[in-house]
Amino acid sequence: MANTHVNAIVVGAGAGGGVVAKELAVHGLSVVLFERGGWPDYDAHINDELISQRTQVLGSAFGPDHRKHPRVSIQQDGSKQVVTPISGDYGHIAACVGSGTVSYGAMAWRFMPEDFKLKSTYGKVEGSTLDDWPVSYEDLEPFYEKAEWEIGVSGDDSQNPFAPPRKKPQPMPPFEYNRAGRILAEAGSRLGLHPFPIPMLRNSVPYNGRPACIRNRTCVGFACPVDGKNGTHNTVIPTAMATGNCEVRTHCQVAEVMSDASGRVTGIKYFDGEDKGQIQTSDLVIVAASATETARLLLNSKSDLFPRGLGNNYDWVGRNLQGHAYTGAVGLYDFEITDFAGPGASFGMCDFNHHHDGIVGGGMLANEFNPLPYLFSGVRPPGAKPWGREHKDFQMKNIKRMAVLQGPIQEIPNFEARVTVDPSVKDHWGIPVVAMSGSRHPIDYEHCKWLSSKAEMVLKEAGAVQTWQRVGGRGLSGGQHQAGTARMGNDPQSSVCNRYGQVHGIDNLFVADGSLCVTNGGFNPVLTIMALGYWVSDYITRNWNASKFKS
Amino acid sequence: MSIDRRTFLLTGVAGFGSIMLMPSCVTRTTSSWQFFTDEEAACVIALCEQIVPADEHGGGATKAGVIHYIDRQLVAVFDYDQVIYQQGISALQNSCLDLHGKRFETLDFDTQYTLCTAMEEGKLPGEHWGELDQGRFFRLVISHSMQGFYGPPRHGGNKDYMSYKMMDLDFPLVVGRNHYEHLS
Repeated sequence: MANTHVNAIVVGAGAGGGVVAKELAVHGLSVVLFERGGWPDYDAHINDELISQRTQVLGSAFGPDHRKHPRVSIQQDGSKQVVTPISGDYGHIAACVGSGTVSYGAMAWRFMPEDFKLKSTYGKVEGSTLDDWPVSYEDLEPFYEKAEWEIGVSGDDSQNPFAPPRKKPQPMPPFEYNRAGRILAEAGSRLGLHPFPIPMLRNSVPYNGRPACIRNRTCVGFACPVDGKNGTHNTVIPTAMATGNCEVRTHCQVAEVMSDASGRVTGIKYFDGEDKGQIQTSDLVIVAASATETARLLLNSKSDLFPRGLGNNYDWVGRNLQGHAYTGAVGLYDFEITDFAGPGASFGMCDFNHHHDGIVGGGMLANEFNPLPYLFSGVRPPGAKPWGREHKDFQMKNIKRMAVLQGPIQEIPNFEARVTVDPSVKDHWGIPVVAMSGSRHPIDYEHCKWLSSKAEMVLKEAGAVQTWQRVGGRGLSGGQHQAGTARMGNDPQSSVCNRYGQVHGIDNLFVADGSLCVTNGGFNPVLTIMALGYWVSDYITRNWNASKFKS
Repeated sequence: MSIDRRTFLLTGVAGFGSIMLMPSCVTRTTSSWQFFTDEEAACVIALCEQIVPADEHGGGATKAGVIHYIDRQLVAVFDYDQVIYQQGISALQNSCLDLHGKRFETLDFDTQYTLCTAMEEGKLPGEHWGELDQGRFFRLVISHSMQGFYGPPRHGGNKDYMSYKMMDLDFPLVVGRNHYEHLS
């Protein structure tokens, strides 16, 4: 039996797609929201470190299934390796309703105004496709606000002198510091820095009918046992469903966006939960499947008119793959600096985000999420033996005596860091998979060394008896903050979408996830992706009645 | 983390499916283990105890049942590691017989430690290892031992949460919010 035609198909029920589904549904459009995973279930994995989003050695708590979703990682020497979520190098992102917003650490950063204009602020960077966004902070500000209030943020930007201007405060008061947060924030203040509580998509007080956070030790990487963490799965997606206009179709793998001879898209081909091929037609298609999977879907959607895939006439789909080069330092103390009040990260500083000589962009610093026992077994000073008595003794003595200060540094986009599809490797349904290749721009490593030295300085000021730097910024980009593969721009020859996320030349095809981001900020990107979801939806709903998109 | 990363050589169009979905190809009914023979298990138990030894903090990998974790995963998620375990154990035993005339698990603790250090550095006699990278085999056992010792008890290791107790990680995670579970 054929599926009933709908107004809009949204592919991917994560931070961007969940918001779009809700906005379109409340504006009266009929929507099917497709998700390759299922609804998240806390009880299926509780706080199992080995099946979590922190480490996937035995599987991913919230998908994707490692037996069905291979990818290809192309090394610097050109050799190819098939990778899975449990093998690493995968660019892993949760595959369930809510996606990463179920299990994230939930930092709720707004990008700063400079983050949207890196090129005009810092100039050209050799070997980079660095550019300004076609959207300014001022354009997105109302949509950041909407995300903060509808999904729920605890924070107080008035404590952050570098915070971008806002019209309305965050809806909930900030969280108090945990012990490491308090000690490191005091050290930061003594150094003349400006620490403040990290804004969080968690409830510091009951909000929207759900309870306050209980400071669970195992927060990031896991679902919340009391539903005090706010994602699209427990906010906007239920709102969309409650309108009666939105169906969430889970366990469906979308294979292709279909287009007709006039160059408009007509719907999608997908495989349902029984692996049966299906077709869903619609007036509009919005792709929000993450920077890797969105690029894959566009590249796999080929036709006579679009022989290189949708939006890819100029070979920009999949280009400029970015993530965040995490960088920082580790400090050991002669007292228990970690009290395990969840999620662990509690204070941040934006002193290093912009306007430092020789640095393009920068990144915020925050204390790290609570250590997990197995992952902590991989944290040792340089040169330490990774097994034996000394290794075990370190584990028992130091798991509560360690503090990590680190941050996501702004990556400088690079045309050769990219997602392609590999026609020789297929997933469970026979669809060519994501292949990731290229590496970060060399300047990222220089930036990382700089930020790590700042982190180490604060750890020492806080009284660390031993410190060492953890410098990131080399190798393949991507990861859970993946971005940039369908960038927005005013020039169709050097971007994939226009400033409203509409694919150049295809009126009824949109992108609404991190793929749009021209640059990825020096912050965790989720609130920006949510704001982009509202921004794209606003354009669609304002223009809907002009029947521009209707078939 | 690099120690978690296991990658698979691309072997062609059908390579992924045939590697990942291959059923356990080894059936050895005489063993009390799901994967190992009793002799292999004795070797791996001693190897894991070197990696996480008993000390003043408490028991090591043997007491925590790390072998149960590894044995169970080798017929499940880690089925593609079966061959490297079989070859690695065999190569280690041949090395020990060659150097000391005894099997690994029967050697004293300090001799075992010296052998592990040599294996880590790729210095055990090469003729017993052939194509197999001895350092890679040892790093794999390190990863699995850490998972079995420090991971949750539900997967067969970390018996009675013993490593969590040694780290003084108290339960419940939040006062009044414990989740009990039945351990098989």
